[in-house]
Amino acid sequence: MRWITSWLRREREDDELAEELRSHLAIEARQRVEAGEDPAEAARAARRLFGSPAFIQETTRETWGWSKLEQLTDDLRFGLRMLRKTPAWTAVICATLALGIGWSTAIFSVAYGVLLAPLPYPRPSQLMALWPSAPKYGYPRFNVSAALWMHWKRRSRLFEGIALTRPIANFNLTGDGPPERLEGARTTADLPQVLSVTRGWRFSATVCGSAGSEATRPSSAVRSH
Amino acid sequence: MAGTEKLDVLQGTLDLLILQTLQWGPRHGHGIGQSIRAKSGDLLQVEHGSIYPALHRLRREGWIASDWKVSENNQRARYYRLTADGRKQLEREQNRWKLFVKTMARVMRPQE
Repeated sequence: MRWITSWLRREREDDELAEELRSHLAIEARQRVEAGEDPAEAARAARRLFGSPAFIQETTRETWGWSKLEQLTDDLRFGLRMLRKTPAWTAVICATLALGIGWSTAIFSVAYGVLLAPLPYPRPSQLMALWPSAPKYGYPRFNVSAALWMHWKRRSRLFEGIALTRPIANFNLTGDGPPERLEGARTTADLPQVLSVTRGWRFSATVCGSAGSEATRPSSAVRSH
Repeated sequence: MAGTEKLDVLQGTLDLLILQTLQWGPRHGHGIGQSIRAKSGDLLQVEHGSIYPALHRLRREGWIASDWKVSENNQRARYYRLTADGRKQLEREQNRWKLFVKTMARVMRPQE
């Protein structure tokens, strides 16, 4: 609580310090006059002896501990004044900052969604994308064949499961009721198990049997989504 | 002044000098500076830039107190006096100073 009173008192302290300095100047001048000096000369000599009152007040104020804060507000005020003095330049700076901040935010939110955000499946860090590649022949990446998939599934010890999927695309759903446009991907029937999202999702594997990667059609549970 | 050697007040000793000066009664800031100078035979010159911060610091520590009074030549001035705490502090600083002087002397003594 002491700093509150000290803050409230600081202007009075300031005045008192100024008065103290003035009184000391007067005392010094008076002593010189009494010693026989010319009054004007004595006042000048006293001022010379004391040096700059502003400097003395400044250094004394520093012992009160508020000067850092006051210097900060002074700097802020000075900064604002300079900004107001050059409105065009200020506008350019503000626009640059606004664009810069806006762009970084936008780019980061995209980068986060695409690259950084964990996939919305349980244990996303264990999910991996696999593809065959033959860089020697100019194929850095090509599609998985059904045979290769079955081979992987049989021989792989690294993965709990391997499922195939094609890129997401639009489909027409016709037959039962009015036709509907669906967004989806053709996958193997075990994809929900591999992604551990089996709740409410069930594909029959029978369609899969001989067809390999040419997977399946969603049951009505999916349609309601 | 020409030819006279001046000494700077050793760092950390200004507090002691001020407290020492005040033990013989209240004085205003200017008087403290003058008294130190006179007692040192004009060798010690206390800058005004350092005496005011020191006075405020000592007052904050509670070692001195101040009142506004009218001086001998009819000038309102702020008079500083030693508090009870200040007296104890003065004693501490005196002891510290004596030890310091003794130690310095011992170190500076030519080796026999």
